[in-house]
Amino acid sequence: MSRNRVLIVEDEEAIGRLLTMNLKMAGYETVWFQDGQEAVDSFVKDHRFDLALLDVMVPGMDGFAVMEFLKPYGIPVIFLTAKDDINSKVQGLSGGAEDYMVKPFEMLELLLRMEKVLARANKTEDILHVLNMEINTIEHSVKQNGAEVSLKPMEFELLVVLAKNKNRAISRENLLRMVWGTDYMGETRTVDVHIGQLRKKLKLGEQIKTVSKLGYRLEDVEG
Amino acid sequence: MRMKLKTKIIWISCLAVLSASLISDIVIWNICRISLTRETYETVYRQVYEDWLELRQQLDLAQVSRQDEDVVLYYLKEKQNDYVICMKYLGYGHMMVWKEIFNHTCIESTDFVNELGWNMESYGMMVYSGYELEGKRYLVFRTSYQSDYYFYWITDITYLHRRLKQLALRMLAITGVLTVVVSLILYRMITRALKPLQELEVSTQAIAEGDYARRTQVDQQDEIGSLAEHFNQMAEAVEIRTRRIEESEQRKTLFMGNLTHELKTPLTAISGYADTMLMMKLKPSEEEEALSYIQSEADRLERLSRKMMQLLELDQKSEIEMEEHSVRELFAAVEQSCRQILRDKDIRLIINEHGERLRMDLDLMTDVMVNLVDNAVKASANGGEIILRAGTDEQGYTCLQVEDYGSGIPEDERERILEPFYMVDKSRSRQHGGAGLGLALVKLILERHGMQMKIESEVGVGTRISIYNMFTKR
Repeated sequence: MSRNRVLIVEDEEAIGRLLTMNLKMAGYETVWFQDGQEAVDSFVKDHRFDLALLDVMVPGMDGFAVMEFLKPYGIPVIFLTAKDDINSKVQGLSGGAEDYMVKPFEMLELLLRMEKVLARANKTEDILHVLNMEINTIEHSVKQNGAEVSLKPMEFELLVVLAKNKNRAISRENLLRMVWGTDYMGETRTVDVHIGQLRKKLKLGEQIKTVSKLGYRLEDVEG
Repeated sequence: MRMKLKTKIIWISCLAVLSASLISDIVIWNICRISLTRETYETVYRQVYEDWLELRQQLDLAQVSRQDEDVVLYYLKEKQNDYVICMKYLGYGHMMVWKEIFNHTCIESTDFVNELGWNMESYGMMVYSGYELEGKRYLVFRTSYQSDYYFYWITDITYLHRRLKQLALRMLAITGVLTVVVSLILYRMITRALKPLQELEVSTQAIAEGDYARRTQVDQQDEIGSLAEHFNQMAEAVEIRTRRIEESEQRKTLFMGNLTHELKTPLTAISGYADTMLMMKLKPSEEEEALSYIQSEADRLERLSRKMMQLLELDQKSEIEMEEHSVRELFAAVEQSCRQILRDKDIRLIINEHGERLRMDLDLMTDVMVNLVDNAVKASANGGEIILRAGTDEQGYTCLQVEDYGSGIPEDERERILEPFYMVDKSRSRQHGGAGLGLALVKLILERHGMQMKIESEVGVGTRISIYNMFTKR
């Protein structure tokens, strides 16, 4: 199973470490540079990346310039920046960036956007491997230890969201929004019922953790 | 009604000239009238009196009695004076009855005599009165002989009145011309005198519309000239003050913009780590790491806000307290404060001063020097040296220098490093705990001391920062 490789160019140590920590947990492989020039230098030797997260204001070479080097390889770019002015947004997006995140941002949002960008670039895996499960997002089927488990459509969607954001607690409200959609008028109780079903059918009583007051988390610590 | 000052002044002065000249006209004309009239009356009187004396003599010689009307008539005819009317008085009791003896004039005598009546004013030996008929003016003297015969001597003095009228007209004409001429002269003088006022008005409007650099050019040695001079001084003061306020405002806006920008990174880190710790199951070592980042980023926020406050306070403070201190004292304080960072990188601080003294706020100036030394330390490699130098310029002002042999500042960044939050090598100085406010603070403190800073630097060779008085010639 191959992981998506992400190039990170971020000069702030705290932010860079935060990104690598979170992305690793979410199942990405990361390469992090604090200097634009260094990133480009090393990129010449190693350009096997599925996505790049670039800070605009970095020493050495700024994010816009770094993006020019990534373009020929078709690596989608998401800019991370503290600049919240329309000009830099336009410059970034019209220059070919896929998305633009303004600091301070939330990790969950970044992860979702990264997923969207990867999906657009056809770089997502159709089959997710989590714990002892094999989740096929095309056939909508789940195999546990090789044996197929039948799930209702919403239970399956919920499992996919938990699997894609494994090791991260997601609130009931967010789950409701992500699985049922923003205009669904249901109650968070619906989430609890479906989680119960997943736990029972897939015997994930231990792995789907209830994080008090926050929500649910599918734990796959090995990753 | 709004009237221009110029128009007002011209109106008032024209009225003044006109009335003054009219009053003098009236006075002069009256004097002329009185003297001319007296002269004319005198001449007429003499003439009449002579004629009358001659006639009376003849009448006396002829021993004229009440009945001798023919004799009187004879003498009058002989005199060939057509301007005499002779009346005989026939006083029947209360009735006044007159008989015309001689009248070659076209005046109807009875009416004439009744009109003049007895109320005539005396003049010399005779009585007289004025008489007007068909637009002509006459002077009538009356004499009587033995209370029976009354002679009315009539002299045409129309010419006197004509002359007086002509005189009045001539004087009025002169007054008119004079008024016009004076008005024109006044107009030109006032226009010239008030021109600077107009210019002042235009300038005032320009300044009111925001053109604070506007001045007036008035070279006049009077009140308006000094008004213009004071106006320029005022405009200068306003301009300086406005510019200072604008600059301060600009600086504050820049600070605030940069501050919010600068706050975003630590905020993202703090909330990101907190979120990670809450949402994810982390290994103990990772949890520790996240916590340490939260702490260091919170520290950074704290440092940032403290420096921000210092900067804003300094910007607001109108005066700083300056006292004369020796540079030795200053350098000693700097060395004390920097001892730890110098020791960490094994850098030698070389102090070079010759007992110079400087008027300063010792604490603020120490801040300046510590900031500069701190930057120098960050730029220097381990085991290097930094020189603190003091000297005196040609005008006798003390100047200071900090020199290092470190990495140097690229030329295109030398101006920008004075902006708040700017860092030449961002990752490096942040790792060293800088917030990028140091040099902005230094610049502000120096400005408040009336000093400025010059940066000489070459990449890879080193940097020399000189601090000198604003009035030092370079």
